[in-house]
Amino acid sequence: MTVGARVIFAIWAAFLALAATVEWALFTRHTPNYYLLVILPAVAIGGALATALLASPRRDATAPARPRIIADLSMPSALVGIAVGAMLWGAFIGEWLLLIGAGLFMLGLGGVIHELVETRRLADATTQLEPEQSENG
Amino acid sequence: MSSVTITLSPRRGLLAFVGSTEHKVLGARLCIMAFGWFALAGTLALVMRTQLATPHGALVGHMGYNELFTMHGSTMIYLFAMPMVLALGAYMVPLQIGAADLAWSRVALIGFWMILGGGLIMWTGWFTVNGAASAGWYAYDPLSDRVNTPGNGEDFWIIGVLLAAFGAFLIAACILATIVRKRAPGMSMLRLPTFTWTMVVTCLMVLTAFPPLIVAMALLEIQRAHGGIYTVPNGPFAYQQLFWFFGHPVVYIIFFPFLGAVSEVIATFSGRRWFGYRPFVFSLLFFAAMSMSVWGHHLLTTGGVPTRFFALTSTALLIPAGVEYFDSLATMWRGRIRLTVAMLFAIGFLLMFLVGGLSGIWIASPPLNYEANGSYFIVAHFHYTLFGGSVFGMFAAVYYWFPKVTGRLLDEGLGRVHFVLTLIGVNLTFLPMFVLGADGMPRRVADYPASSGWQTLNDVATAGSYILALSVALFLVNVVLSLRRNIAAGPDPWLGQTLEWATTSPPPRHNFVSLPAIRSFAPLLDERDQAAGQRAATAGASELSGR
Repeated sequence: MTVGARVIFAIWAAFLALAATVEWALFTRHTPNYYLLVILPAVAIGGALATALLASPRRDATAPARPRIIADLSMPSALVGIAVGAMLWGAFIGEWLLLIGAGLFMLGLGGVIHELVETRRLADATTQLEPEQSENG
Repeated sequence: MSSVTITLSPRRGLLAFVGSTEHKVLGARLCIMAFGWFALAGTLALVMRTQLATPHGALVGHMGYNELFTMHGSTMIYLFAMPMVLALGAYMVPLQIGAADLAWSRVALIGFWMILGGGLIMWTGWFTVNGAASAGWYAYDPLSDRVNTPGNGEDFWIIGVLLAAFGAFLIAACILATIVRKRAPGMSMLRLPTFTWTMVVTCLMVLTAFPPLIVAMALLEIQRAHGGIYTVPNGPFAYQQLFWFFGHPVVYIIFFPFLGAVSEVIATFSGRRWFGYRPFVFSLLFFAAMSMSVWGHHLLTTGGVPTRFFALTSTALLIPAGVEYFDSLATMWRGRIRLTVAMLFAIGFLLMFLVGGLSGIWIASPPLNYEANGSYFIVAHFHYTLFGGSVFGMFAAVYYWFPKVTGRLLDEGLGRVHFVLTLIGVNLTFLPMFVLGADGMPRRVADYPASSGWQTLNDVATAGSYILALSVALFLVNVVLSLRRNIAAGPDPWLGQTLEWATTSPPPRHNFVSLPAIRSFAPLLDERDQAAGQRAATAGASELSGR
């Protein structure tokens, strides 16, 4: 039997719903434990649906061969992470740090977008140049 | 996935440390960072234990002590334990499922820098006028508001927790996406190795439990700056609900991956397939769901939660935990057990967590909870689960996977001494705390009266903490010596069962040149069994032809 990820999410949702139902039915109808009663199972079921729709391995298996570019280094991503911390810290240290953080954040975000565009361009170029070299990676 | 994999800009050195998106570098980086925080938080614990070695200890004042236990607990939970389990996941999950890399690796890199940045900001609180945060690792309001905890130290703590939680959330999302989307052909969900399964439930829990913490921290900061959030009727109670909705699951978020690592160690060093794989997986999912439903037992003494429900769910945790213990013992039963250091730590993990788990059942009972609440009994309980359990699991994982990560074996002799010291240290430190708690010693006090009769047990605990520090120092010595000794481990020094042992040590950039056939959760064991079967058949055939 092959069990996909969506089934796992569904089982997880069922267990959460079970706990919620037990609480609602037997114990505390007056206690609004919204997380347990509504949000948790709903999020888990949403995860199951999202996985079923978006992450089916079959979709990848039938997709045409396409180069997958893996960037080993992404300084802009590191910059985004550092910048978020700088911005938050700047709220207490001083406006100057907040502004520097915001600037770094924009710079990092731009860099990440640039990387993604370049990656796609490189993948397209590789596909056009050497389609016969595609293989399982 | 059909593809040609092209690597861009492979680098080493400082640039790689700052910006590498490779999962192995990310995992190693998280691990080193987490261990650094572990050392710092452990040093704070030593100062606290020294303070308590005598009644009316004068090493630190009351406020200083508040800062110490706040920063110790926060650093251990948010900066050591959470990143450490994610480090294991980031490094090992792609290897175990036959993937070349982590999904959304840029996002994981952002997550790493947010955790590191959060930790640094949290610790800069020591340099502020009023010192570091001092309202405990859960910062209850109104204790943590600006009136009761003035100064920027608490603000830095809130920002630090917020960043660390968000960073961990991002990395967990990447690990889960990797498991869902990047499994090798043949690696169905019910063929995932046990460690990877524990990472599945861990990531599910992180994705569910961390958003309330992030919200709680953001609201707490707004409360400190402007008020009006938790000052409404039942506001402080709302904060406690939000916090513990994260605070209890995080214990299991820390526990599950180490349980997974221990299960791999036990199966490998028992020379047997993990017993009861499917019940184990099912019980993990049940365990995770139940542990999302027990947060209210931290609030039993408030009278504001349905005590019977939370006592029921808390006690029900025994069922999946029992399944996992049974599977562990059944795997070892009649196995060809090799008592390596990793195996010793794995067995230590089972024993120490058992003490923590059983004392947890004790305090899940509302009447007993009222008696133990706020005492050293609670401190003993959660240190047996978090330190006695998880740190043993961490060292089992480190001794097991160190050869895979570095290509070098750790010294087994030094490792055994390390294990013995850790075992003695943990029990000397935390066992007396059960007695102290039962005798009424409250937690979070910087001193106690000489007439209380608590000094002897406190001295034992203090001695134990120094033995623990010695054991950690010995581990570091072992790492340095073993790396300098440079004895090559080879691809599979332990006769492992899962895919990470099918590649070189350390693995190449894309992890695998080729993958073995995956027919179960232990593909390498399948191969060995098949080869043994073929050898037996050949031997049988040649014997028959000889007659």
